[in-house]
This record gives sequence, C-alpha cells and structure tokens, in this order.
Amino acid sequence: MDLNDRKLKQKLKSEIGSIKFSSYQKNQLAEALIAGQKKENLPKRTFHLLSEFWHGTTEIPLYLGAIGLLVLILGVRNTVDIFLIDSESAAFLLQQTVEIIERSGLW
Amino acid sequence: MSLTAGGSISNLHLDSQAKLIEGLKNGDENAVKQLVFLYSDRLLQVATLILKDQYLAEDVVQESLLVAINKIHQLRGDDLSPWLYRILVNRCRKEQRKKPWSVVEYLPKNELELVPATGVDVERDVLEKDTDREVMYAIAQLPARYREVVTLYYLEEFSLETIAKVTQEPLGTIKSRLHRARKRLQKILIEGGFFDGFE
Repeated sequence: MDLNDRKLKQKLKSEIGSIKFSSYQKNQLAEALIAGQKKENLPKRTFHLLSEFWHGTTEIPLYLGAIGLLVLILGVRNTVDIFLIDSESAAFLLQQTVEIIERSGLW
Repeated sequence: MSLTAGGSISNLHLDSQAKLIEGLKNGDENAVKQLVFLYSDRLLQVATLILKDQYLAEDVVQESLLVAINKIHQLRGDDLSPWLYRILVNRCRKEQRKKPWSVVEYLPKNELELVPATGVDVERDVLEKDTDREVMYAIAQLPARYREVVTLYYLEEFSLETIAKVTQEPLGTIKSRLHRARKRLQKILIEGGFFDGFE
C-alpha cells in the first residue's frame, strides 16, 4: 500500500484551506509592513548602525560590551598612571638617585 | 495581475512578478499590498505546518514579509516565490530553536480524545478534529526537517530542486528526507487508521 501523492496533496490542501488571514488582517498586515518599510528607510543614527554591526558579529549585548570596555580602559589608565609623573618630580627623583649613588661611592 | 476573493493568485505571469518586484524596490505601497494579498495565506499555511502553531506562524509570516520588503534589493532575478519561502523557512527554524522541547508524540486515533487541550495551537486543533485533519495531524508527528520538505512538496508542490534552494540543502538530502518522510507518513496514517481515505 503506497501513499497516493495526488490524493494526499488534495486532502492536505482541503484540510489546511481554512487556515488563512481574514481580509481585515491582510489590510492590517499591509499597513504594518508599509509602516515598517518607512521606518527602515529613515536615516539611521550612529548608535543604531553601531548596534546593528555589533549584533551582526557578536551575541554579547552592546550595553554589556560598552561597560566591559569602559572598565578595561579605566583599569589600563590606573596602571599607566603609576608611570606618569610631572617634570619636577622627575627632576627630584633624578637628583635623589644621583646623590644616593654618589654617597654610596659606586660612581 | 488578477486576485481572487480569498487573496490567492489565479495567474501570476513572469512580467507581473517582475513588476511586483520593481514596485517593492521602489517602495510602492500598492506593491506591498499586492505582496500581502498574493502570498500571506500560502506563507501562513506553510509556516503553520512547520511550526504547528497558527498564532506563532502569523507572527513569523509578518516578520518574513517585512524582511523580504526591506531586503528586496538583494533578490537576484525575478523568482520571488522561492526567495520568500527561503526567508520564511529560516524564520521558522529560528523560532524552533527557541523552543526545541516542542515535540508532538504520536498517539493512536482512539486515544486522541483523551489528550487534554492546552494552549491555542494547531496541534490541539488537529487533535480535536482528528477525522477532519488527519494529514495535518500526521505531518505534525514528523521531525521538523521532514515537515519542511513534506510541506513544500505536498502543499506548495515545489520541485525537489526548488525545495533544495528554499531549504539551502543539497538535492540528495532533500530526496532522502522526502523518501523517509513519506515512509513515516504512511506508517502514521496506517497506524492511526487514517489511510482508508487515500485508497
């Protein structure tokens, strides 16, 4: 006993025939699509473009990514600050270093 | 281009299709309405069979049409139909990934009335009207990938080559899936006592 393709197609179509949009729903759908199309055609803001790019390449939420980047920048900045000194402090440190070396008799 | 009362198309010639695509590319509102009246019912039926949920299918059709309208410039050539179905199938797959636990277990016909109705979906509708919708019920028992192929083959009457394009699968895979799906369908229909109607 094999499936009769033609009869199966007919039966399936008659069974599913009642599943459809009403005319009202179709008009609503068309209006929603036209509104969506207009929205899509509006000039995009930078944030929107950034968001689109970000979510096209990664699954990490943009806000979380931005916070992570901020924390990273702050961390790096604090680390680098240790090595950043003004010219007066540099001169003082240099002078002290030279004096220590002279007193020690190494030079 | 002529539309029937139900919104289906009686005869869409290639030049009409080309005009429709041109209208969509130009942002013509009438073209959007034509697209909705031509394709929305067919897309809804396909999505309903694949997703087994009419309300979810309605959302997916709306999303798919919006994607199609906004990406119409990416369409190469004048073959709108397979391209639309490709978008729809991809959206359906995305929805299915969200709820992978949704699996329908096959029940013999005499046990169908004992199944409690939960939620509003086609599965329930099918279970309640088992004698009216036996093919739909049988298709609902198939795995998702089989449902796609069976729906496009039996409902849309696409060729295997077109189904391969729509589903983005190799032709051999489609042939094999259809063959296995038919076997399973036959088994379900026979075991459910539905098969008599096809002889």
